[in-house]
Amino acid sequence: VLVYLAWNYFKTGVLPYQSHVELPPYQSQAGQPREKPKLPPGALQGETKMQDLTLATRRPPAVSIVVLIFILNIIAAVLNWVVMVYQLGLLGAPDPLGALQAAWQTDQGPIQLVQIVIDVVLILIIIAATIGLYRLRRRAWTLAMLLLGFGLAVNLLNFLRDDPAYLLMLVRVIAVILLDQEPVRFAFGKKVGGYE
Amino acid sequence: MSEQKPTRVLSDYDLLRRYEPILRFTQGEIFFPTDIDRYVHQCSLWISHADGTEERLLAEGAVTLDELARPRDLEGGAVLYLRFVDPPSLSKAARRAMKEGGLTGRARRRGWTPGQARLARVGYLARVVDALFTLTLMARGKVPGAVAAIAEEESRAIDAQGEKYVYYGRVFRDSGWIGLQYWYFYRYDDWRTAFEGVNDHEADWETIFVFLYEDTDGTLRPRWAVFSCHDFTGDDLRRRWDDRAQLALVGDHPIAYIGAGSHAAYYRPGEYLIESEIPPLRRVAPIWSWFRNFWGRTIQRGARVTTAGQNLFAIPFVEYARGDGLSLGPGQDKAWEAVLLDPPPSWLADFRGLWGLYARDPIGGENAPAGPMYNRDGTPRGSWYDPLGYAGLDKVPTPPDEIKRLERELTEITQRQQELETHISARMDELHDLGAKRSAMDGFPNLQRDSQQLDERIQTLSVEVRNLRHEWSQNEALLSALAHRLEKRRSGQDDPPHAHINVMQEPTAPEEIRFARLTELWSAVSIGLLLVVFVLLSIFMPHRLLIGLAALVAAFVLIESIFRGRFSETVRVVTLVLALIALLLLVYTFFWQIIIGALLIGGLYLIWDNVREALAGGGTRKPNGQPPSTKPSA
Repeated sequence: VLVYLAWNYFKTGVLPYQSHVELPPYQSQAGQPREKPKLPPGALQGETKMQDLTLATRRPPAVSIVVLIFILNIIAAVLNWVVMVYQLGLLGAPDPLGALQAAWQTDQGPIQLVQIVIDVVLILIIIAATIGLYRLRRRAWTLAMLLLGFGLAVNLLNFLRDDPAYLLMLVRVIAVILLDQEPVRFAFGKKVGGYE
Repeated sequence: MSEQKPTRVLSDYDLLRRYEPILRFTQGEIFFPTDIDRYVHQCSLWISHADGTEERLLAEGAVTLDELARPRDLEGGAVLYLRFVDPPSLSKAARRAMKEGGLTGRARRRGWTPGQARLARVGYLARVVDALFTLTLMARGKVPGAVAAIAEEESRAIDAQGEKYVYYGRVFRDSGWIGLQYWYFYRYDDWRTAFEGVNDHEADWETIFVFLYEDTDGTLRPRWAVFSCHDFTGDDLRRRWDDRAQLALVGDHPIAYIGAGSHAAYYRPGEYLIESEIPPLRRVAPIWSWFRNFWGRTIQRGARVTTAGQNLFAIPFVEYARGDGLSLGPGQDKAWEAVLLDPPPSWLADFRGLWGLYARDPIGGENAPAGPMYNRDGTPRGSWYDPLGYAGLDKVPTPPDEIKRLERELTEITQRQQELETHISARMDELHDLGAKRSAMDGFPNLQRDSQQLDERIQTLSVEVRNLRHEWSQNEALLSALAHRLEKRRSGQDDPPHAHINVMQEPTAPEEIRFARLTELWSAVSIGLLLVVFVLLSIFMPHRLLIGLAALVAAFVLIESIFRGRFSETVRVVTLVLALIALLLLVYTFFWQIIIGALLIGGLYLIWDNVREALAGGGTRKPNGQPPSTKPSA
């Protein structure tokens, strides 16, 4: 993430928290003032300003970073899920129902099976949040913050249990900071997170 | 505004009548400003001794205003008080009232309808404080619930002999202001039992001021109205006479909207969300205020800051000042009877006791008040002895006086400027002389001691000149401000009418909440439910109490936010707090690594930046082939 931030800064000279809508500066060519760049209709008329720009134009770099983090999170969660399913002997079993019954009868089986189901739901939610973030949907912002808050709460609990996951904690903190930037909140809609 | 007469034409009584306020009450109100004679005659006089025993000094019917004023020897800690509702009638009437359908709901039966539930308008912490306050009512003294019902009954019995709507007024002159003070006596304050308010107490004294000044042509002009409102004092209480947005007038009579049950006065009709501060929590409030500002301005940049429920350590109450009930005053439903308190009668000056039941409430809200001149503890009441200070007018001159003062200030400062210029010029002369002399001493070691003394003298003079110039400069700015103000005043321009107000009390619109009835129900039960679930958790899950409690609070907060349509905002705040904690943990855990990393990055950045500058400048030549210009030496 840090490398991406640095690369983005060197490339564009814009930090994620800075305004991402960069209009070309007025330049004088052969002593003639350059024509004012044309914005989409209604682009500077209050509420409709952001909506009239294309998704790619109004998606702040910070959102792209968070989407990247979420994609990595999905990959990790899917891999973890596959490993769990494999450990229970469900992966590639000729008789899936039989394997399921066998797994259920082991000591930790029921808990693991419930966790598998929960993980599937969580993965689907994260996927939904990621797609929503990419498409700048207001509810996705709230969902992403909710997921991050939940994840941070789990991180803090694990820290208290002497089982800290510092890297995960750091990534989530960065994601929260990025999502809380004013341009980001603005891009997701005026009322997100109480922004006015 | 009607034509004003010269001061000398109007007597104090006439002045009071000319500007007497109109009081508009809320539907359901039963206690109105009335005379004290019949009230006192209905009361018994009691003394509460320091050891807790109570003694009746005079029975009902034996108390007169002269009797009140009679000097009595009291031991320290004793409290003298009247009692409108006697204990024997209390138990009897309570039984009767219970048979007739309970003690509560009296105001509703009189046509009052409550607005949106007060707890639904505020957050959790305020509800917790409210719950604590409600619990304290069990422990501390309070006026028994039946008293209000009996007081209502007795009050009706008195009014049956003839209704009287009375105010007691006085006129005082102080620092150019002519103050008209109107005192209103109510037999009972049934705010808590009838209108879901903070307290109940026997007897109530409320006041309203009108401040006038004498203009240069000798006419009297009203300038300010001041309505008493709970324990508030100072500038915020005051409204300017020409402030039509805030002060309604009928002719020369200001209109006050009276809070149902509490009898506090408001400038505009409506429902007010007020905060009743709890004395022990007053010290916590500034800390919370600081945190709130820090959060709002630093962390939650650009966040909406609401005015309602700002002080979380105060109890929120809704004050109903709708003005849809009886209206008292000139040309209204009922007219006033005026009583001039000049000279102050003996009952006013000599009776320092309470005008109703002493409920032994340590906070004081349930104890009856003392008379207009005194506080409950017998000390002088500010609104009587220092009315200008009470209204925040002690620093405000009358408009004609202000012009005179501005002119005088201008003259004085202009003179001072001339003096300063003379001083500065003289000292500058001296400094130049010394400077020349000092320069001549250079290169003569035999004059070293003299030159050192000269240096000290030069230093002292320099400081003196600097201070004089600073004063001159400040005075110039002040002169400019004074001249600007004087010009405005002379041309008749006034300040904005709300310029003196810090916190404007405004009627609150009902909070925009979803599922209104469900939310009101939730706000009513949430704190109690939280307490019950906490107890259940501690019984059935003692080993996970902390986590369970955290989850419980989080769930309650989220439910509340859904009701209020602030789910997104709540999620954001909670997540930010968690991120902040996680960040602090990370910094704490990796403190030295972070320092080393920061230094490394800083060093690398410096190298990169300097190299880039060197490469970019690279040349010793400008693009057009000219050699670079010589930089001036440092």
